[in-house]
Amino acid sequence: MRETENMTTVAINSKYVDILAPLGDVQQVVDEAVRRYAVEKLGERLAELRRAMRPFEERYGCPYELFYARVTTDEDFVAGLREVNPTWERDFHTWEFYVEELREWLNRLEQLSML
Amino acid sequence: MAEPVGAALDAVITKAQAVLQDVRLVRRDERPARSLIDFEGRWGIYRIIVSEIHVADGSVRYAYYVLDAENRLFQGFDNSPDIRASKQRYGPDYRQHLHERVPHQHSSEDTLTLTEPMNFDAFMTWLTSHLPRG
Repeated sequence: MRETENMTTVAINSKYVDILAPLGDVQQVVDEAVRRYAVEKLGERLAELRRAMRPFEERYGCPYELFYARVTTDEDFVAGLREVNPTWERDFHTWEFYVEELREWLNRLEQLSML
Repeated sequence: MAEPVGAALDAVITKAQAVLQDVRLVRRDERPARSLIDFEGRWGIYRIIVSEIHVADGSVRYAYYVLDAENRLFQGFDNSPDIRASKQRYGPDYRQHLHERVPHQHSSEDTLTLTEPMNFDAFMTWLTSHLPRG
């Protein structure tokens, strides 16, 4: 792999070049293929993260942002959480882990859409 | 150079297996920006739960629990931004610190006490010095 300012050179099997050449400019075709692949993989990752977050949303009956707001501002809400789950802080951290990952992957998707 | 996170998580598991019984990995997820480990074990009649998130900036979000035989909280340590911990630490100025992570401890009555930051070693030290293994 070789990098210049805005481009990275990646070797691809010359057989792919032979196959892609009749479809048009090979660079453009490869760029489009990589973009499609990236969108597909990002979609898979986003779906996986949303699946990981769902049990917490169901257990606490709200999205993470509301849960976070309540934990940091609502003393009565926090006082009652131990009844829902004696180890709610563990859920909180794990949920936060997936939310932060989701935000980063959504940023990547946004960057991709601007290419 | 900082220790790779994967090695740090391996070390925690190895230590846990040396001290606790029936250690069972619940979740482990390593990503470039953060890594998560979550496991359980037993200490005599007590159920022990360990959850750590290692963030790329070097910080660790943690929750360590001792549950009794009926799965009730016996003792817990964590650094979540719990409003009650913020109030205790900052008093009337707590609103300026609502999102800070504040190390604290919960008792079986869910009373909250501020602590120094904990890690797995400190939790094991607390466990071995406060609870007979039975």
